[in-house]
Amino acid sequence: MLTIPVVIGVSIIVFAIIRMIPGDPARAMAGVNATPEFIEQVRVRHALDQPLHVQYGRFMVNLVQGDLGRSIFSGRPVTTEIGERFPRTLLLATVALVIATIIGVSAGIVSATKRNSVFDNASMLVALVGVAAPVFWMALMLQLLFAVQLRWLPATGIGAVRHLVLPSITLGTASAALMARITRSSMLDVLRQDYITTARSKGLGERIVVYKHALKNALIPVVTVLGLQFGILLGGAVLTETVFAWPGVGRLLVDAILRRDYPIVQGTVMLLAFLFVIINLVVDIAYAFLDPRVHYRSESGE
Amino acid sequence: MEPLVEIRNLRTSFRTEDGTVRAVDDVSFDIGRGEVVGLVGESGCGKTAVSLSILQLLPTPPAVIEGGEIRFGSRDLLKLSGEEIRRIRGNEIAMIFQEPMTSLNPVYTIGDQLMETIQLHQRLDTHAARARAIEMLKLVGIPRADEVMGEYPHRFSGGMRQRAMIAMALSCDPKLLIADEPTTALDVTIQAQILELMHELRERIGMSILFITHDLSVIAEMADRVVVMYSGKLVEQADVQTLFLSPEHPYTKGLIGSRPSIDEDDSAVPAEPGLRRRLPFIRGSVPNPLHMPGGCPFHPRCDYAMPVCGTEMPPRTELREGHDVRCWLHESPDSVARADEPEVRS
Amino acid sequence: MRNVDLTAEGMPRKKTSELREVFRHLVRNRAAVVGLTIIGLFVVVSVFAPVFATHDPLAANLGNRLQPPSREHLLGTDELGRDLLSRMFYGGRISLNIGIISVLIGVLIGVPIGAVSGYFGGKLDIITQRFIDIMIAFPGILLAIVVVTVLGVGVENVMIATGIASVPIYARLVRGSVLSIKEQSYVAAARAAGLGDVRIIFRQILPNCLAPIIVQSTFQIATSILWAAGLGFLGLGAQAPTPEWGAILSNGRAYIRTAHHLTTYPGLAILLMVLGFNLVGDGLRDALDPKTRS
Repeated sequence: MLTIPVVIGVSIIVFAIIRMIPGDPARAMAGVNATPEFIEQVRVRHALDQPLHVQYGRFMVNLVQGDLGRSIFSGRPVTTEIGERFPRTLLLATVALVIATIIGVSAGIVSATKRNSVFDNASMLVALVGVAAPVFWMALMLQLLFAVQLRWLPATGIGAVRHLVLPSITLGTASAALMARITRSSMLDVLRQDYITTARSKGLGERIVVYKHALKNALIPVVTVLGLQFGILLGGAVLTETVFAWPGVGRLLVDAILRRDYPIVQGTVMLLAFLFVIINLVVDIAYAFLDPRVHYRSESGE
Repeated sequence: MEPLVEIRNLRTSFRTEDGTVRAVDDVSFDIGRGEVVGLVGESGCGKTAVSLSILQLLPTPPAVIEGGEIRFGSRDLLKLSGEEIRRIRGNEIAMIFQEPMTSLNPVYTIGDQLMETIQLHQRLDTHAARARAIEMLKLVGIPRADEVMGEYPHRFSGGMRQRAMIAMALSCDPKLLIADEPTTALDVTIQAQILELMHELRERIGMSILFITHDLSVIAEMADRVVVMYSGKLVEQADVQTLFLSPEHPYTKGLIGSRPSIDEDDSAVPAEPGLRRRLPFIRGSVPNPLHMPGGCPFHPRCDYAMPVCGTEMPPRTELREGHDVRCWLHESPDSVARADEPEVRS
Repeated sequence: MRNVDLTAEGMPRKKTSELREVFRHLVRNRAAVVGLTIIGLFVVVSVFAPVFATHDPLAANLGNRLQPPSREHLLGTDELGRDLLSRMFYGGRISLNIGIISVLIGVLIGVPIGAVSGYFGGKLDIITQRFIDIMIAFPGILLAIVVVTVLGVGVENVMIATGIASVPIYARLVRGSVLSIKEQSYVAAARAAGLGDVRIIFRQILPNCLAPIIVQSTFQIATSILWAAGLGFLGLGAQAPTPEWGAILSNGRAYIRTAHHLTTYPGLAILLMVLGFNLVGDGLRDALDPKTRS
């Protein structure tokens, strides 16, 4: 795995982004109404008067020490701001992923085993719509139906489990749809394999053939997408959190961009990028767990 | 003694988008107790469909078993419920397949897959099942059977995997083993080893074998009796000696003639001067199953074709005890003369 | 974000008969025909937006705010009394433009990167791949958000941002195709005939990568439209008074309790357009894949 080079690469990119903003970065970081003295202060504090490689060195040293600077808007350390909000985003994304996986994978299995049935056609149609629906629109429509009209669930806010229902369903819909499609096609592919005929020829019942012999093989491509999905969910969280006023890092990032709070932008993007690297690592491990051939390959080179 | 399996008028079709393909058309033959029956024919002739029909392993749809009877003891396999046929699969009738590389599940260990079959059909605890599995692996000549139990199929060569498949198939002492081209995908030397193993196991266990292959030299080596299929139809059956010495159907003659003889001292084939005479290869190719020619499906390729061959399928003629042929040339001793005037028949 | 796994076939084929064959397969696929119809309708409505629009999309009429759908305003009016349907006709133009132009940007940057990286291999390839790994590590919408942060808001910048966000997808796709095509005998033959690398890339290799690029682009148009609408919704995309669907939706949010037509219809329009491209993408993938085309 190339985890470390990727993390370093990300840090260079994130670092570069702030410096690529047209105009004077110190002015940008100081805020719109800053006095010339304050801009100068910011310039020195962030070493913006130093050559780029020195700046990057400082940035990295601070990063390793867990110092991402302070928010221009609130004045609080970026790590505190993120630390407060990240668990909420993680909760939302995890719940969404769990829901999406359960619904998507089961729908995919049933669709594949009952190919061309009413269930298959209906669930694939729903999946097509689920992938195409904009996440923020889904969010608003769910709010409209369940919060405004039926008054079953709160439209916004955090705290209780019922606050989590609408945001996680919204966020999970597209993933569930994609997962259903992938599980179905993977399952159909596996069910055509010779070893499935072998399993049947042994006298195993259809349930064991499907859920033991086929499913474990069919899940291998699903796990890859699962990792990708988690990333996409974190991206979708930006939109979902906005609609549901869910104070997570997604909302934080959008607010920071709108307020030109660059230390926060820098810190959030860095965190998210780091997460993706971790997720990819976990996917690779899950792979080896599911597919014994992966072990073998990694031993014989690569 | 009555045979172990009696297949009567089996008809199996595939319903495809472009039409119905009759893969097995009115096929009848027996498999005796302890007998090895070779089922030969070119690929696509329906021999695999016959074998999968016996255990009802064909995917439905598109496959449909349209008629016939497969008697196994007192039962008709085609009339059994799903649960009943499952109790026979892997237990009384077991199967091995052509592709050892893909026939074992890649994500479970050899041991898991072996023990699964054993525990499904026999009342053994995990410990006893494991012992039985190891015993089977030793029986099929897999070294270090103990360690192999915990290994995944990808670590095995094709020959080893086929041995493991055989171990799995024989683990419940089946009365019938269906071997569908079990050596086709293997190297020549491995092929010989697997055949030898099957020979040996047959002597030892005494089960019947339905051996499906397109390779006549394998048939010559393994089979007691041979069933020849062409385009879904059974064209000739005879004991192995008779079939090689005096094939009667033009297709069988062509098959034996077109068999590449690498080794002049091929002792597996009865040394008979007539047999060494190489017949020309069969001209033409297997007909498109969607557009089957009328009458005998072989007639467009047959050197002896007569007008009647293009209009009507010949009936089954028993030439002598155990030797049947479906060909107008043998319809009766004077069939040739009669067949010259097809209007007599129509 | 969907990736397509299609390897080009053995030999370059005749263009016209191939095109006809693909089209024949496409129109036999019911879902793809539905998709083509949807896209066709949107294209017609967008091109002739000035003809179809019953009102000026930007003309405010404060005496006529937040009207529910009526005969005069088929989809009602917005918070400034503007006709929603007319605004949506123009919005379709914007979304289609964003989808197509961002894909062009992605193709123009991503394809050469992937082709050069895959064709020449070596250190260049390794470095490029690491870079692409990093970019792919970001989900597309975040990448687009980050780019917009640098470039600033507005429709043009959204096109660039979504275009850049799709670059790594094309680069990886083309590199994979090039790696397999490079080994084909006709490429070796061209090399033996003394053709230069540039000629080989343009004449022999890229034409054979076309199928996966076309399929990916169809999906990518859909994805870019979604990303752009998301940016518009966040206030990071098209700015008022531009009638971009995401932005319309975002403005309508405040009135969801009293005038939900402002959120419902633009969202449905986005959904339909994205669905149309996805259906055609699925159809094209099957039509161009020699395996499913028996």
